[in-house]
Amino acid sequence: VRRVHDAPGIDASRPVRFSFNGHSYSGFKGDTLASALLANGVDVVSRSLKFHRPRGLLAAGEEEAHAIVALQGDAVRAQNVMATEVDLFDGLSAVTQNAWPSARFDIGAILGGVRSLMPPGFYYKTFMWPNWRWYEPVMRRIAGLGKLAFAVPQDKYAKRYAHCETLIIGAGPAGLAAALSLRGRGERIVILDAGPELGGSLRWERDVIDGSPARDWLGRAQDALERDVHVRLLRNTTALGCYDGNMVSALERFSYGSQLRSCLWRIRAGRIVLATGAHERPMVFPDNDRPGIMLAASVRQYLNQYGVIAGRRVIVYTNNDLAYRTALDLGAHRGVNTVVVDVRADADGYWIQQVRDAGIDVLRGHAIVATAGRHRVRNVTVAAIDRNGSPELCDSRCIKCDLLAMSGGWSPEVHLWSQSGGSLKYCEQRVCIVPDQPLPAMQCIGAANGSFVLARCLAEGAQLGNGAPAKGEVAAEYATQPFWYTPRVAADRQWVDFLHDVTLQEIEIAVREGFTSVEHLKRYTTVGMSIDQGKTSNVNALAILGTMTSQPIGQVGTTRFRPPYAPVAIGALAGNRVDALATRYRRLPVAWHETNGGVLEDHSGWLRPAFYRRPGESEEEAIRREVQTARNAVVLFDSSSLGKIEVRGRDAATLLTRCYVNNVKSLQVGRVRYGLMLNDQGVIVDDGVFARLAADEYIVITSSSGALDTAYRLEEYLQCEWNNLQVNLTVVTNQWATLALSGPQARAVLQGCSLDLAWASSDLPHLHVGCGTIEGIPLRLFRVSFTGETCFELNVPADSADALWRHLMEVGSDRGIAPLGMEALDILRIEKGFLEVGVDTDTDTTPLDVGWANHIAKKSDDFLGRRSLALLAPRHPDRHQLVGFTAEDPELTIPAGTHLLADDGVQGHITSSCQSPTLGRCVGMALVRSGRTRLGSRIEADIEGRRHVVRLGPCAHYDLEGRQLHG
Amino acid sequence: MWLGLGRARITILKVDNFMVELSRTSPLCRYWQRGKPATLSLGPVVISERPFLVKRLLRGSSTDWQHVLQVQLGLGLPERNAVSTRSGLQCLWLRPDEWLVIAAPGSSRTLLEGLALPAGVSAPTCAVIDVSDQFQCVQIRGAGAAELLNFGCSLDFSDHAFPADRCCRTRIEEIPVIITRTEDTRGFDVLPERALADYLWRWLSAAAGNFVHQAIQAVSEHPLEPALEETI
Repeated sequence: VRRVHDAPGIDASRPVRFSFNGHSYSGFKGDTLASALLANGVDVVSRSLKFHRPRGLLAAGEEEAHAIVALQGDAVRAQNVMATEVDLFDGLSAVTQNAWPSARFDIGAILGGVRSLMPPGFYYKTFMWPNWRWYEPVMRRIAGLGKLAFAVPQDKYAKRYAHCETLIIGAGPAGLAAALSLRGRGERIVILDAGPELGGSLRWERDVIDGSPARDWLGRAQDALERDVHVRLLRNTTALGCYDGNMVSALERFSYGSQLRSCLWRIRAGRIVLATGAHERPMVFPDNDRPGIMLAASVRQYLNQYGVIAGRRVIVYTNNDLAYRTALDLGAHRGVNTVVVDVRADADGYWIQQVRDAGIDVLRGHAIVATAGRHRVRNVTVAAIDRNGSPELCDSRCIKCDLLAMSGGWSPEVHLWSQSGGSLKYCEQRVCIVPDQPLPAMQCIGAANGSFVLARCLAEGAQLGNGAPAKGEVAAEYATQPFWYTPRVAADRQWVDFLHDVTLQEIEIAVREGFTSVEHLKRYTTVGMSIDQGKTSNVNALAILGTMTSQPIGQVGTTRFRPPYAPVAIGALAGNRVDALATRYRRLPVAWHETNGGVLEDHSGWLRPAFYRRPGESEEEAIRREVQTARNAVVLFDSSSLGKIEVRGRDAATLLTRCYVNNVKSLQVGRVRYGLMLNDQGVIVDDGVFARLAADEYIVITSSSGALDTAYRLEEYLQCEWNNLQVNLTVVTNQWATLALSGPQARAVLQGCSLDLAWASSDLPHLHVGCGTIEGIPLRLFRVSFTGETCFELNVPADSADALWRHLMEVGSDRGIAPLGMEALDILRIEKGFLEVGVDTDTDTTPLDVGWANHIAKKSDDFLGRRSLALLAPRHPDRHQLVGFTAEDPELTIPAGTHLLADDGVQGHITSSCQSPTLGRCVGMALVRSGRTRLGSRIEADIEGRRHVVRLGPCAHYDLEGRQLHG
Repeated sequence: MWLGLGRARITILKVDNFMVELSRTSPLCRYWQRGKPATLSLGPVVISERPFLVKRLLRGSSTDWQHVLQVQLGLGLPERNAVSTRSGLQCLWLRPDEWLVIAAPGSSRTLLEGLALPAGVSAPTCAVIDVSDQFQCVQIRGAGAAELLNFGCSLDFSDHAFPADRCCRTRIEEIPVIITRTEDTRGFDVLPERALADYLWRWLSAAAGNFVHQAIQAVSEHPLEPALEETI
């Protein structure tokens, strides 16, 4: 029998079935996967990463370094899960990740035989020639940590923020004592703990508080905190990292029965109390990684909490007092034989006395020099050690055992302390690294502060609120003595980092090769770099490094404690930003598009119709039809995404004159002008139109993609450079929908509407703006065109846009009106030779390159970029200039980006290109060296190695006189 | 089909002897049901749209506007990050020279008159800009309101940190928003730009879905109100 059924952590009346590596087992409600495996006698649970050594359970908590498994099944899929953190549920199916064909018989174990060929850094040394890529697939297979599986689709992840005055991390005795003493002040307290229940070690240690079992005190504390409305308790929650301004990220895990997998908390706290506790360190001795060799406190936890007796013939191997409790607790069970091996020759004190009184053998001044047993430890060899820790190998003896409980001392969990900028120091007396100088808004208490005795934990917690501490009994001091590794015996078999198979010898080699900084050691040997981030190995490794380099441990330092503290699924970080919520799109105000064939695509963050598909039409046919309708009848286009900025105030004209290449001051009220905006270097950054609505009132209409940048740029200059200007800028992009009615029949369609506005061609010619109403809706009517046809851009409040769109479609139906998509618009503007900033210009294109020299010469006022344009380089005749091109071969389609070649190499490239339905051949624009001097000449375009002739010409290919535009 | 829904009739004009009816469409019209504005009740929260509110941005100096608001609307100019309220009228501080006035649907004309600069006063930068359609308003009520915001917004929405007259510009996930307490201070009004209202609505719906999981509980300073009635 390996179970004691009255253990507090399990409900023995509720059996749970599960499977591991295909075998069926049963455990109890309350078990973790690890405790159930242990109770079922499963010795080998995994294989090590590099040498595929058989491994059993090491620990009972988050520091587990061996039992990293994958969960499989329809409802649950997860990789790299610690068996100690999986609550057992019916139907759970877990497998070993890194073994083939099975964990017990793994082919990869052959590698163990050639270990000497794999020294530290052997990846870098061995697989350099001819190329790492040759070896990578094989190495990944051997050294992989599970195969990535896509999550179960219905899995959900939440993210939330929280605020509190006090955040207590860790709900062990210290954390609970702190919470009890701080509550009742009306301040919000959040307590989080990685365990499924509060209490930490109180759940399994046989401690006494205030004269009764610690569980009673725990129950009372839990009740009090649960009833308090100001206290929020987060169980199964691991703090991952600590950031500026006392912000802590934490991951709350939910049981595998829940569709919600986890919740990522970001908690901002007035102050943080770290009661994160400590982890037990393994001892470093030959073959210390065999199944059946476990951490002493974990053995105690499995026994006292889950009722699992992990072995019958037990050796407790220690350098400190606390491990004696394991011997004591196991010894209380009938049929368990225990021997304590203590490296300290002079070990004495309360716990040692207790153990002796219980009739348990204690071997003082001895070390373990060898262990045996393939799939489970069978025996150990012990030898007396001299004052330097060296074993007297001639005087050794063998002891049979089936469980080795080891304790190399305790390491406080100081990750978060260090991440908040807290300093650390090495404590000689307690042989561990503890917080040093105090931090203003963070306190570290209990075992995390190096206080490993219950009474002290309770006192440090109570002290925070000046409360009277509960009295933890057995106030024996913690005594220990460093014993970092076993000298003079098989260094290549003494494991320091179990997960990454780093042995003492590898650290020796690294030191010999000069990697004596702790950061170098980590990277060269990979110690502490695995999933567990060295929870059990870091302190041992740096202490060994210190010993080998004859430095005090305090001087060796630690590697950086980087978040996250525990593995986090990618899904947890994504939260609900998946599928339809993955990308934040802006939507047009007209809802008509999507139910009338509009194919919505992402255009600079807006979902806009690329084209409108009619039944039986291909994409190309639809686009061609839309272009032809625009040229021959009338189209309606939704350009509501254009950026709109109201510029108002006495100095509005001054601001715009300084920011645009064009002359703004001369613009009459009611007129519109097309403009280019430059940066300091004279490069075009945006284009658009601006209209003067009143004397001190302008509206700037930017490109859709440049909307925010242009607003920020104007605002920056206004606030940082010219803050004496009396101007204010207001972005009204969303307020105004822009419906562009364009084509030879546009005017006729508009005549079918009721406009309260003089808009005859004499009243409102091209490049004019008028304000009024259409069908009672406020209207700003712009005469601008991006299609080259007569165009009325109707700006109306966005809420009215959908109705007006439907109205115009109805009124225009007998004129053959059709909606126009982005693709067709692109063709129309290319035919017309209208450039698009960012497409036909690049990060080097100036207005001189696109033929704006006259505009600049005419402008007397200064403007951004002017000085740069006056320098020599932008005026050099060899610059790339924007020109049009026409393909000679009418069948040819030339993709944008195509290089243009002459005898002396590449002359430029095509920026925009389309197969023009209007002209019947491929036309477009290109940036060509000295382009304007080459108009009319032929040049070769290189399409995938084949040369085709194109003729250069002016940008515009259609309606060169602009007759259509002014209709 | 949601087409034809999600609208409120505002005007009927007579054109050439036939009637043309033009109406306003909410950006959340996809979620309207039976002609009623979008509303969603999930666990401890009720999310509802407040369509067609009248909104005006005030630009200029506080001294100019202080007088106009006080005299013509009886409304004080709010302090930094605050709101002033008077019977259905709210004025939100947005930045040192920008305020947002929010009024009930249909109050456009009275508001316009109320915000007119007195005759003879011409401040160089004062401007009133209609932004009724620039921002959409989504109201969140119920015991889980603050927690719902905290699924995507990092601010502290407790009574203490976010008192009744507080307003802020912040982000919910990637959505820039303005957040205030509702007039009765028990819920929150969230104002995204119009084009992002649909994304915000879908995001809020998904986030509120968290409440159906037992694991996520709402801990609130306000118990759930028995009846939440919205009148537009």
